[in-house]
Parts: sequence; C-alpha cells; structure tokens
Amino acid sequence: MNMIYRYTLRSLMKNKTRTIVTLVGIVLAIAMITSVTTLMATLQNFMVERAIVSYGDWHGVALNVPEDILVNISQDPRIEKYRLIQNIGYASLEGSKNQYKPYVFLVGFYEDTYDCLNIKLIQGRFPKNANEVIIPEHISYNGGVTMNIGDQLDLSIGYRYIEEQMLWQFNSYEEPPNLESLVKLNDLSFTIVGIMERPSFEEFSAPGYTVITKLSSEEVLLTQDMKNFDVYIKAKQPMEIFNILDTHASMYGHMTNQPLLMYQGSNSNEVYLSVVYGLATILIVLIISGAVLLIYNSFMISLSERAKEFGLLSSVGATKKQLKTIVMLEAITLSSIGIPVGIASGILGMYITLELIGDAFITLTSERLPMHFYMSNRSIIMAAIMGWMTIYLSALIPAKRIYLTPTMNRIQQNQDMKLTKRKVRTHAMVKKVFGFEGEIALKNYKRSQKRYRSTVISLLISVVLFVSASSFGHYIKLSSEQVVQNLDFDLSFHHNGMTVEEAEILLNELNHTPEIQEGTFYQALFMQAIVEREWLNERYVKESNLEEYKGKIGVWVLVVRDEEWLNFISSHEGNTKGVYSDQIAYYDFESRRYVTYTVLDKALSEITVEWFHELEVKDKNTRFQIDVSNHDQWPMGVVAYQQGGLMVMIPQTYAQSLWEMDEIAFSHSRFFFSSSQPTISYEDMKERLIQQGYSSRNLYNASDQLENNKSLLLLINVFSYGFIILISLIAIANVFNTISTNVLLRRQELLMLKAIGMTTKNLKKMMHYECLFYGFKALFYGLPVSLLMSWLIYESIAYRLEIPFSWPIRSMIISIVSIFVVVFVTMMYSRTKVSHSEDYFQYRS
Amino acid sequence: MEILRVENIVKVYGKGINQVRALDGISFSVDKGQFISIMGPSGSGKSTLLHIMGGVDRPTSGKVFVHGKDIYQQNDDRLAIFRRREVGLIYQFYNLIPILDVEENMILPQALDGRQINDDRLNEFMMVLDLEERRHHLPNQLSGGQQQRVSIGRALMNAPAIVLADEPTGNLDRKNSQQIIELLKYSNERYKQTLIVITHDEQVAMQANRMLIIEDGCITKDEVLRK
Repeated sequence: MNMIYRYTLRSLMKNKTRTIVTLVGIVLAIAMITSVTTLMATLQNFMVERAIVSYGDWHGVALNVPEDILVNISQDPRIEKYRLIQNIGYASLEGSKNQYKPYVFLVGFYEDTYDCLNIKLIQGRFPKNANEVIIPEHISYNGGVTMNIGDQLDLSIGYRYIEEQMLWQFNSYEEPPNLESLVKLNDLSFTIVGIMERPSFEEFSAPGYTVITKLSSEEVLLTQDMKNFDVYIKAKQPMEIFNILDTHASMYGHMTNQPLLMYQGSNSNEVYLSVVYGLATILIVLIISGAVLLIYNSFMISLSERAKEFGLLSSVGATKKQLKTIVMLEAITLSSIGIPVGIASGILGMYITLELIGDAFITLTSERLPMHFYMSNRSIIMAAIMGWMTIYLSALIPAKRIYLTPTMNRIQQNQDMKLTKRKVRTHAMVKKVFGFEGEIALKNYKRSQKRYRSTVISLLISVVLFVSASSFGHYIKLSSEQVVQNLDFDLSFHHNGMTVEEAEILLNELNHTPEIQEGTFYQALFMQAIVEREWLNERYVKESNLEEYKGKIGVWVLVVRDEEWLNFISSHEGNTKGVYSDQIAYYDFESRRYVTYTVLDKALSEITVEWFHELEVKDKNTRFQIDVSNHDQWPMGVVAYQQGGLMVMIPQTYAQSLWEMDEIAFSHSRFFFSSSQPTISYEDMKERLIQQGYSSRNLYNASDQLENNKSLLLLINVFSYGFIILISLIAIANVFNTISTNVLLRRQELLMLKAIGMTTKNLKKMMHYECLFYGFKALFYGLPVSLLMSWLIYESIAYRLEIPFSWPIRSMIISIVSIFVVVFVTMMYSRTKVSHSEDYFQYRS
Repeated sequence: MEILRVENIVKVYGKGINQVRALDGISFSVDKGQFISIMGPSGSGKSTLLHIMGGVDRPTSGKVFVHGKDIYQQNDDRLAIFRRREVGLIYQFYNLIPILDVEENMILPQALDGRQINDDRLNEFMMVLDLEERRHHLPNQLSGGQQQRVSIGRALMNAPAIVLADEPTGNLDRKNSQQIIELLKYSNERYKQTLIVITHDEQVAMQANRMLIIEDGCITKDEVLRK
C-alpha cells in the first residue's frame, strides 16, 4: 500500500474519537440532507400521482383525429404509450335543463384506455361490452335528468354539424343564428351499469354529457365508415410532448396535461415548485452550515494537531500536492463510510416516518391518496453531491491554511499559539468575585483569543442553528394550525339556487341518513341595502370605490330555520327580529397587517333592503324594512362571508312575513349535520344526494378534515422536532469536538500548572470559569444573531399569514442552559482525560 | 570539491520594533565529505542557518548553492523534492511520525519520492543502527537513543549529499551521545556524505574537521580542526 494512504488511514485510526465524531457529523448531515431531498421527491411524486388520478396518466392528447394517423403515432420512438378513446357521436338528451348541454356524448373505451384516464366510479361497475354504459352524475344534478343503474338508455346517435363542418366536444353548443344540427345515423340501446364522477376530460363548455361504453378493438357502432379518436399520449420525456403533438397533431385539436407536466418538473417556474424548493433550500442551508462547521472544525483540529507532522513530512520532502493528497484521502475515506451510511439512514428515517404518518394525506386531497415513500435517483445523487461538497470544502480550507504556513513554523508549531502581546488587564472585581483562578482563567481567555475563537464560534453557531430551527418549526406549525379550523359540525353540503321548500325536503331526506344526530341549513340572498351616505365609514367608501355613491350597498341576507334562530337568540340578550353585522376583516398583503373595520359608523335598528335589480321577482313590492340589532356572534356554521361586509340574519317566519318565500330560489343554501359516525353518514349521504339529483361533490366531511388536520399537525411536529433534534446533535458534536481538543492541546500547560502547585480543585475552578467566559461570549453574540435569523425566517415563511412575530424566548433559554451544560460536561470529560494521562514526560518532547 | 556555498544570508523575523535579525550576512562554503560542527549560544541563529541550508526555510536575502545551483530559485515543490533527495535532517527531538513504525519512518523520504526501497541498504542500516528487533515498533515504544537512531536512519536512507543535524545529542546521555556521533561519523566516512552538526557539546564539536562559531547572526570563528 502506498505510504501516503497508509499514513492517512493510520492517523484516522489513531485519533479514534475525532474520527468517530467527524463521521457522526457527516452521517447526521448527509442523513438530514437525504431526508430533505427524499421528502421533496416524495412530495413531488405525490403531486404527480395526484395529477394522474385527477387528470390521467398522459402528457398530451390529439383530439378528433382519424384512424390513419395512429400508424405514425404507434411508430414514434419518443412515445412511451398511447391510449384511445373512440368518439362515437351525439344523441339528444331529452329533458335536459341545461340549455348549453342538450346532448349525450357517447364514447368508447378500450380495455387499456383506463390506464391513462382515471374514471371515478361512484356507483355500480364499469361497462363490459358495447351494450353497457356508465353515465356521469352531473347528468342528474346539472342536466336535471334522473337515470338509475339498470335503466335502459336509448340513444339516436349521430353527428353535429354547422353546414358541412362536423362539431365535437370542444365546439360548445351553437345557438341561433348559427344553429347547429344533429344528423342522426343509428338507434342504439344500452343498459346503464354505473354512475361516475364527471370525467376530467369533459370540458365545462362541452355540449354533451359524456357516456362511456366499452369497445373491443375492431368494434364500430355507427354504420358510417369513419372512426374518430382522441389519442392520449404519454411521452418518454415529458417535455417532448410539445414536439410530438407538433409532429402528429398540428392539424388537429390538441392539449397538454398541464398539472402532470408541472409536477414532473417540466414547467419548473411554477409557484408550487418554487415554494417546495424554497423551503427545502432554507432547510438545506441550515443543515449544511451546521455540517460544514462541524466537519470543518474536525478537520481544522486534526490538521492543526498534526501541523507539526505535516511540517516534518514537508521537511523530509513531501510536496504540497502530497500533503493535499493526505487531506483529500482522509476526506474520501470518511466520505466513503459517512455518505452511504448517511444516505441509508436518511432514507430509512424518512421511510419509517412516512409509513407511520403518510396515510394522513389520504383525506387531505379530494383524490384521497396516501403519501407513499418515494425515492428517486436524482434525490440520492443530489444528497451525495451536496454531502461530498460539504466534506470537500470542510477539508480543503484548513488544508490550504496548513500548507500556506511555512515549513519552519509548522515544525515549531507556533502558528496557532500566537498570543496577544499587549498587556492584558483584568478588572480587580474579577479577582474579588472569582478569586485567583478566575483571574488566570480570564487572562488565559483574553490572551489566547485565537485559540478560543473556534470554540466560541462553534457555540455561537450552535445557538443560532438551534434557535433558527426552533423558529422554523414554530412558524411552520403556526401557519398550518391557522389553516386548521375547529368546526362545530361534522358534515356540510352546499348547493346554489334552492327554494325553502326544496331545502326542507332535502333536509328531511338527509336527516334520515344513519347516525345523523342533528341537521339544519341556512339560505342566503344577495340584496341591496339603502344606506345614507353619512352613515358609511370613510374607509369603506374609499376601499369600495364608492365616491359616486348611489345610496345602496350590497348586503347578504341569511335566512335561518326558526329552531336555529330560537337557539341562537335565547343565548343573547334582547328581543330582536333580526341581527346584522358590518365587520370587515381581511389581511392586507401590502401593509402586511390584519385589517378590521366596520362598514357603518352608526348602529342601526332597522335596515331597508331591496331586490338586486338583476333578480326577476314577481312581487312588485321590492323594498322591505328589517328590524335588526348589531351582533358580531353568529350561530353554527354561519361564518362571515369572505371578507365580511354587511350581513343580515333573520329567521324563516320573519322572512315569510316580508316576502313570498316560496317564489325565491336562494343564491346559496348550506346544510350542516352532526353525526355520531361521520364516515358512515358521509358515504350514505353521498348516495342519497345522487338519488335526489344533487352533486355529491359539494358534500364535505369536516370531521374527516379535522382528523386529517390533526395528523398533518403530527406530521409537521415530527418533522420539525426531528429536524431540531438532529441539528442539536450536530451542534453538540461540534462543541464537544472543539472543546475537548482545545483542552487536550493544553495538556502540557495544565500539567505544568499542577506541577507548580495548583490543586485539582483550583484547576477545576479555573477551567469552569473559562467555560463561563466563553459561554457568555458565545451567547453575547449568538443571541442577537439568532434573533435576527428568527426574524428572517419569520419574514420568509410567515409573512403571508396573520401571524405576529414571536420572540423565540423558549428556545433561547434552552440554548443558554444547554450551552453551559454541554460546555461543562465536555470540560469535565476532557479534564479527566488530562489528569489520567501519565505521559507527561513524553509531552515535553 | 565544493558541494555547498552560502552567500551573504540574511534572515529577518518580525516587523517594526519586534524585528529580529537572526542571520546577518553569513557566507561560507563546504567541501564534499566535510564534517562541520556549528556552535554558539542560544538564539545566535544556528538552527535558522541549518534550516536555510536544508531548504526548509527561505532566507530574507542571500543565496544557497548546492552542487553549484541556487536552491531557492526553485518553487516550493521542486524544493520539497530537493529536500528528499539531497538533504537528510536530524533534530534534537527526533521528530518521528508517531503513527508510523520504525521501518516506515526510515523509508519515508523514499516512499514520498515514489522510489523502490533499497532493501539491502535498509537491512544494513537496521543492523548498523541496532534497530533490527525494533523494526515494527512505534516511536513511543522506543527509548530516546533508539528514536534518534531511527531519525538518523531516515536522514541517511536516501543517501543524501548533505546531512544536517540540529543538536542530535542534546536530549541524550553521554553513552548514547557518543554512539550517535560514531554513527554519523561512520556514514560521513563510509558514504562520503557531508555532515553539518549543531551542538552545544564541545566534545562532539571537537570531533569535526572544521568548527564554526556563530554569535548574533554572524560567524565569529571558522576553525579547521583537522584535514
């Protein structure tokens, strides 16, 4: 074996403690970097999976292409896979209430089409042959046509035309004067076997409700001799899709799957990714600065300890390059153990964490996906590269310093021992308070500032890292808690445009859902309130641009059920017929302030409202007086609308006395339920809603959300505490390393002090005072710097949320206490090592 | 035949009022195979001079010629190569690498040079230096005299043209001192190596062919003791 390599290996083995501490530092740092990069990869993969579930596993689609271009597509080497939907044709939807959607659009799926497009079945099963279909649920709640599983669906299928031009789903319904026509070709009959959610590929402007049947490869349903396909393409390289579509579909309609492309990193300038990368960058910078310091310190120490050896090597003819090789070999040897172990433990840690709490993500998204651990080569390579860079830089800088020192100085090792030449004065007080030992300690400290610098800097950075990491966790937690609201209901459902009668019928039906304990609803109308100009708050006038005031402002009138009203009013003073609130509360991004004010300067006892002029109301009496009193408390579920404003709440009977309630379809109806088993109720209620012709999409399981929020908070807690613990470990390893080395380097001096008559007790005292002095110095600089860091973190994370800056008092106190604990423990450890050493004689040489 | 010539060497340490003139214009030349002893009080500049002659420390001004070539015209790497091929350094405190064993310490300059180790020569040295049984011991397992013998072995293994020794016996008792001097003389005679020894010990100094006395950075006496 090469002498240099042998020398390197042996010096690593010889300084076992230091090698182990350095290795621990490397492993911790790499593990943390790996967990950050793996978490990023996992999150990204989660988003990709989510995009696939929602929008399908394809990058681009060529729309309405004829059969003959399929040959070219099938031969394109850039394409990973492609799947077909056959566009069969349109049939009129009898009884459609949606004037823009008068058709059923029949498409054929092949066996493998489902790979690319995720069809979410709500009830029943998928079609097995060309005699069966599944229908979308919005055909009932949006189109108003109720169909059930098992029903026969007879369709007169044909094509849509304007003059000669054939129209497809992206051509929205053409009303007169360009009236389109449907040319019928075939009468087909199907059995409905399932109900699906509205498929993601059906555009909102599409004129036909998509109905899916199953085709075998050669099947043709229409007699006319043409096939028309949508080709969903997945490219091998996501970004290639634009070129692929250009090649094959430039003459046809085409689209890309933007969400999927975004999460696969093709559009990396998206906000989502910049947020993820931004957070990851903060974390990685914190970790790397801790790690660099530790590893750098370890190398620095081991190199300055061996400065003399380096000098000797150099005096017997080692070149700079050979000295550099020694340092680099050391770095490589440590990396070759530390990096793989670090990566493995980072992956393992992240895997366990995600296995334990990844399911928390199931209900976080409407797709109900769990977050699975995902490891990409890129994330591991990135961690390895960052780790190596950290180690390389940490080794290179001290090595440079060593071989820039002249050989002579290295041999005499007088570089690090430069003492201050000026006279060091210690205050008389010091001697009085701390005694002789204290004075010596202070002199020691003041004279050899340079020797202490590394310790003080290590302590300082440890404080800063700890406080910053805690602040980071604190703000992340606060900002997630903000999103999490405690709601006083388990399930809610909302629907636009419902009369009181319809709402009562639905409530009655939904109240029969198993496990429901209580249910209620309120309905909202947007009206105009007649308000005198001088009543208005000037701020409101200014912010709502009401300089040319026409005497009216918008008002939400909420009508609640009488029971609810009685419940609410019994807990409040007074005998009012209605209540109003005029609070405005919102967060102003520019001033970064939470803004609250009232719309009116005057308290009202009645409000005059009138119908919003667009509303067609049969009743000619359009103005009403509502008796009100001002309230800022509202009953269950009634959360102030968006940014607030003028809101009036009255009970149904009072509303009835004001206008003909039956006639009015409310802008907005919202139902609330409490349930003993929310999940069971939720599933059942979904089916009931579909049967009643409503969309189950607007049903919201708040308890589920609550559970989920709790697990999200747990996840964040695990991450932030895990992060703080690891950073603290790095910091402790660092401080331990620096202090113990410094004491060991002073072995000779300490033994000498003992030799001239210092007792062990005196020595102990002196060293404890030294600890105090540099502990204080580290805190003196460290605390302000960590405050500054906390502020920067606050600025970067929390500025968008209504969170006040909080002083990191707790973490500061913890760091003050732990600084002294760690320093004293290390001192004690090293002192025992010094007093046990018997090689005093050898140290003379 | 001249092997080493020192011309007007000045070495200044520090700046301003802290400035110390360690060497103040020293010149002399040394013939091949000479054994020179250098004496002088502490702080007179002996060690500085020795290091400058060995290519370890650059002078502030002046030139050092070895084989007629100014060694400080070379860059640091060439100078390192010069040290390992042409110079053998011996220190008072042995300065062995503590983690390398006796044999490894001895072959260090050759190993650094990437050269094949001359096993015959190594074995001969082991025998002459009486280190055969200590071959695989670490420095801290050796006595002072043994350690100094290792450092002599290291200095001589490469067959350098010049051997420089800085108080090689300063840390040893009389018996060990004499043994070390005998070894140095032996190599001086056997391999025709030029030997320059700094010493405080007059008995050692008197065994040389020539004696230089340095005071305050200047040569105050240059005496030929024997031809």
